[in-house]
Amino acid sequence: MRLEGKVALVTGAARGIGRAIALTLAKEGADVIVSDVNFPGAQQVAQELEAMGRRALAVRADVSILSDVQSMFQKVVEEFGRLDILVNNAGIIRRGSLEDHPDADWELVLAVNLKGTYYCSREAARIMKRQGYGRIVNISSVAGKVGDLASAPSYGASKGAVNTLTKSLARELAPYGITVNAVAPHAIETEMSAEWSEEKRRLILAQIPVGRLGRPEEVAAAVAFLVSDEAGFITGEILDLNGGYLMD
Amino acid sequence: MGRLSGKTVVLIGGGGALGAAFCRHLVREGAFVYVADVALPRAEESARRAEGAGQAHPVEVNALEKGSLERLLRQAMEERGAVDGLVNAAGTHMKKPSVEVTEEEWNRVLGINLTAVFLACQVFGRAMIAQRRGAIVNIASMAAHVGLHETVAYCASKGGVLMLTKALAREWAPYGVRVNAISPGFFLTALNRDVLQPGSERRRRVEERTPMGRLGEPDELGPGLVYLLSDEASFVTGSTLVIDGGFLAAGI
Repeated sequence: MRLEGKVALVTGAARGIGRAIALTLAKEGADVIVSDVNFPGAQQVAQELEAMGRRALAVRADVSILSDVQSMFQKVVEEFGRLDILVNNAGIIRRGSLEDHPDADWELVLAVNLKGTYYCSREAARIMKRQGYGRIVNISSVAGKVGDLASAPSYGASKGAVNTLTKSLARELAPYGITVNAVAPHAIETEMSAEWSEEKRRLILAQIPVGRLGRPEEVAAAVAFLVSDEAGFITGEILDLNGGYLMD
Repeated sequence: MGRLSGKTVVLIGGGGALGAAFCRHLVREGAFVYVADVALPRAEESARRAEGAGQAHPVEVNALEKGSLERLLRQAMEERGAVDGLVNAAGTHMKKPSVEVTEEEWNRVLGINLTAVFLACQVFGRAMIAQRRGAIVNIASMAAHVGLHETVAYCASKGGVLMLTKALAREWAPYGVRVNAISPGFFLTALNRDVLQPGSERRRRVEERTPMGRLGEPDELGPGLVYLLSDEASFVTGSTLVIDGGFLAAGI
């Protein structure tokens, strides 16, 4: 186990990739704070983690709302006294093209995906700087690197910004023993991909050299590596996890 | 259970400073490692210093000769029945003003750093394609991403390694063969020990330019290699894992 004794917070952890990350970190020995806007979902995941013998805490938080984020981190400090790992996984997606993308959707996507990552990183950094140790991993997307028609422009813009934020924070926080990295997955099998039409699925698969979708556990394994002590010299890195779809 | 239990890995350039660290990590994670180097005593030394669930077997290989690589493949197939992993960690370096680089020098650097990597990928990749499984990791460099001072042949060769990695990843993905690269930042090796001596101007500049403010330790590369070779990285191909203390991410 690579994460024994560590305390991790995973946002958007009630389902999909976030849930897989929470489970994998717990399997590696970490206690996990399971954060989501979907509180019953977060509670369910927390129960799964407790059944594995870990300490777990479900927290309802909308990462785009500062007061939610602040009270969440306050709770983390009260309950666990420290925070070693933050995984900024909470994210939303909206479909649509430039002209049929309501302003409210643009605001919402940027608020959750970008501002939420920023807020959580800032609160986490306060704790991690005191400790002189921390690991932050942002879940980005291949859409942050290439023009993507599967999502509205807001999604790609938010993820591109997350990539740059990753590098800025890596630069700023390196002297404090805090690494900041990102994983950029593509076409992972989740509740989101289950909604794809047969046609869309076929088109997406045709562009992936390994010829299949990725699994949430594969994203989680990359996160587990990046947050481990072993990865201490890796910072500012955006790890592509896309079956060969994009090799930039 | 190690992350590489039951896997057979060919480690080319296993006698260098980074190669020795790679060997330790691979063996610790349970792999059977053919530690290949052009200098057998160096391969033996790396193998001797590796401890763990796996095994290290030193072999002499000239990666510039296809026949030498093919002999190692035959030996591995006879003894182990498969080759699951290939690591290309051999390399050479040359620092001098570009206008003074001779054609022979250019060819030497490109030969060892790029052509030999291609040959090894070809020889062992063919067997992996037949097995329908395999993972290759090529060791690139910061010089594959940014221009370093007076090292034109080295930079060109490492840029070539990254692109070779992507081209093979694309071509061999349908056969279950993954091809990735690691780009190390600045680590002390036999190749750069002279230019990166403590207190030297270049050392000071590298440390200043690296957000973590220090060089890397060879042991900090091993876990990344283990990850990319392991089944955990099963959806990762054509990727470059940068391990550089933030060097490439940093502006001023």
